[in-house]
Order: sequence, then structure tokens, then C-alpha cells
Amino acid sequence: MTEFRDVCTTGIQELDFHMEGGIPLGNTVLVTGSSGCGKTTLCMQYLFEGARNNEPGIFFTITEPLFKLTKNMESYSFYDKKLIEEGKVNIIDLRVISERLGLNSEKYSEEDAGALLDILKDIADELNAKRLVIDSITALCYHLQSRELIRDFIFKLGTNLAMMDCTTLLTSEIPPQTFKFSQYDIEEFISDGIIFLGDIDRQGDLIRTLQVVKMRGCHHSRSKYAMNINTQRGIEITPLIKTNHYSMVNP
Amino acid sequence: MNDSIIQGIKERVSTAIKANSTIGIQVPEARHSDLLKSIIDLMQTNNNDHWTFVTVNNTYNTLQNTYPEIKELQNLHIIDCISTYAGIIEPNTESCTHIDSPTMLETITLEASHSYQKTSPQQERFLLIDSLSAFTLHNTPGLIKKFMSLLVNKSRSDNVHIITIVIEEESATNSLLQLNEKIIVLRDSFIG
Repeated sequence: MTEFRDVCTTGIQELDFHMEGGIPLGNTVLVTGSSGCGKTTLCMQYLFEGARNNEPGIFFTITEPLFKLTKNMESYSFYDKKLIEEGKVNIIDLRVISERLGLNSEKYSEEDAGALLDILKDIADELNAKRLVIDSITALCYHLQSRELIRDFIFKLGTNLAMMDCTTLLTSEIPPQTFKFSQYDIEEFISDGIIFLGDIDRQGDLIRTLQVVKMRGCHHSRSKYAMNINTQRGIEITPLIKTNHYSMVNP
Repeated sequence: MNDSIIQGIKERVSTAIKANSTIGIQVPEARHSDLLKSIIDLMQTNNNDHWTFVTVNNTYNTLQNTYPEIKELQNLHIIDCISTYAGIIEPNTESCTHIDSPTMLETITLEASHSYQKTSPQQERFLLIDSLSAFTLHNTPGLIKKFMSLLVNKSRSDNVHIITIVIEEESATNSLLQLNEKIIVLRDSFIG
């Protein structure tokens, strides 16, 4: 007998296949990688896929202005302006929210961070969001003043997300050539899943890779796949042709 | 180019590819263009078949200039792995997809798969790789062997016939032909 699981399809067919259909509903997943590895595109593809399945989503950005974000997405076939106009995909600049809340946009205090978490939840509830993206948790934490505050904020974020009726992708920036999943070494502990985007060096060319390191609630492949970002089709993955020895940019 | 030679090669390739899902052709450098001409003739003759042509030896522009008839072929999609690498920037079109570098083997397999998806179920599908010898200039032979193994297995499941070319003088690549069901060795003396 086939067991049907509640999953969020990502819009990347092969990735969903390797996770038994998609990301288990309600999971918080860390999408981690260095600059240019495709984190934002993957998250956008995920949100638009949700919108097509009648699962409204919110993209909270703290790194890029809205016009730039949407402009970068326009060439992809998954992008549909109508889904934004209909409110099925909502793109919100957290810096604007911070300003409206009267927060110090340079450095958040503990109260500011708490207020921000509350507003994230309120917005998600109000828009009846089923999918969330925070791009990026690294940039968000950059505004916090101390390591303790960051730690506390990330744990509270994890608790809040767990209580919400949403499946969430948190992007995490890491420097190139590092073997770690997050900047603050803690983000992975609030996450049910980790999708690692990296590169391998082949004769001086960088081959993008994708690896599902962890995904609670499903049996998933832990193989490293080659990832391609096609300017029309978006992200697609295929088996990586592995060599016995290759230079690792992001292992 | 000698018409009778081209016709002879065409018949050999045509017969072999009908009977086998993968064939490898070893050809002397001097006869490489005759072989390509004969395969392009085959594409023209069997215009109900769909062809995906992965080129590392010649840019799309060179192919169009050398074999002008390919401009008219509706059943051909070219995956050009060399133009961008050589600094020739051309946009992708319905007929041709450009790959950044011949090292991006996985992107080639993805683009080949997308090319097959454009076909109707009734169409026979063929993949031409020209050439493994040129691929090994940019990748290690071990990597190309794995690439071929992946491509052969995937193409079999997609019901695609594969023709791979190696240049005789590049002896390091000749062993890569062993992955094929059938090997055709075109000898200069035999052709002549």
C-alpha cells in the first residue's frame, strides 16, 4: 500500500523525487551556500511552485531591494507576475518593516529582535502563508549586537516557526571554501533540514552542486548532485559525475 | 568530399545504428569531415527522426558554414560546447544551445534530455557526440568514461540511439569506444 505524505513540492522535480515527493510539511530548512550558488533562485522557485498549488507564500528579504529581486526572476518560466498581484507570492523587504516599526536598522536590540519576530508571525498569519522564506538569516543576524543575542534570536525564531503552520526556507550565507553550514554555527540546530549548495572546481570551471544533508521526516538521498541554473527553466539537478580526486571549493 | 565515400559511410552508419542502441566510430582526422557529412546526410534523409548533436570539435558557426544544409534541418538540435569557451558569444536559439565550457558535462546531459523532450513519441531519437577525443582535451579520460557511462545508461532508458566519434590519432580515447554495442573503424586505406 502506498503511503501518502504531506509534502511541499519545491518546483524542482528531481529534488522532490530524491526527498520522497518534497519537503515534509512544517519543516524549517536551511538553504546554505556561498554567494552566487543559487539560494535565492531556489527559494523563489519554491515559493512560485507553492503559489501554483494554492499555498500562499512570503519572501522576506533583507539583502536585495524588491525591484532587483523581481527583475532577476523575470526570465524564469516559474515566475508569474500575476501570482504576485494576486497575493499568492508576497515579497516583503524587512528593512522597510524595520523602519516602519521604528527599529534601529543598523543594530537591533533584544526588544527590536523580539518585535521583528512578532511582526514576521503577524504577517504570516494575516496573509495565511503556507510557505515562508527568510533571505537571509545571516544578514538578519548581522544586525544583532552580540553573539548571545544572535543565539537567542535564532532559537526564538526556531520556536516561532515551529508553531506556525508554514514550511520555511532560511537561507544562510557562508564564505567560499568553508566546510560549515552556517555563519553562526547554530542555524542548523533549529532546522529540520539542510540543503547545501556548493561548487566543485573542474579544470578551473565551477560546477554547481546541491546536496540534501539532512531532512527530517523523509528518507532522502545524500548524494551530491550537479545543479544547473537555466535562465528559463530555473534550477534543475542531475547526477554529478564524480571523480576520485577533485578540488573542493565548497565541499 | 567524395560523394561515393560519403554514401558508403552513410550506409554503414545507418545500418549499424538501426541494429544497435550505441555505436562508436573511430575515424582518421583526415576523414572526419566526410563522416560528419555522411551523418548530416542521414539526418536529411530520415527527416522524421530527431537528432541532438553535441559538438566540441566545431562551433555552431563553423558547422553552418561547412555544412550549410544543417540550417534547413528542423529535426536537429545542436549543443555547442565550444563557442562560449572560445570566446564567441552567441545567443541560444531554437536550433542551438550553448554550453559555457566542455567541462560542464552534467549541463550537457540536462540539455540533451531537454532536446529529447521536444520530440514526439513516434520519432526515433539520436544523439551524436563529436567527439570524445575533443572532450578529453578538457576533461580527464576517467571523467569522460563516467560521462559516457551515464549518458549511455540514461539514453537507453530514454530510448535514444547514441553515435560517438573518436579521432583515430588520439589513441588515448580509443578505449572509450568499448562502452558501445558496436564499433565501426573507418580506416583511411579502406575508405580510399
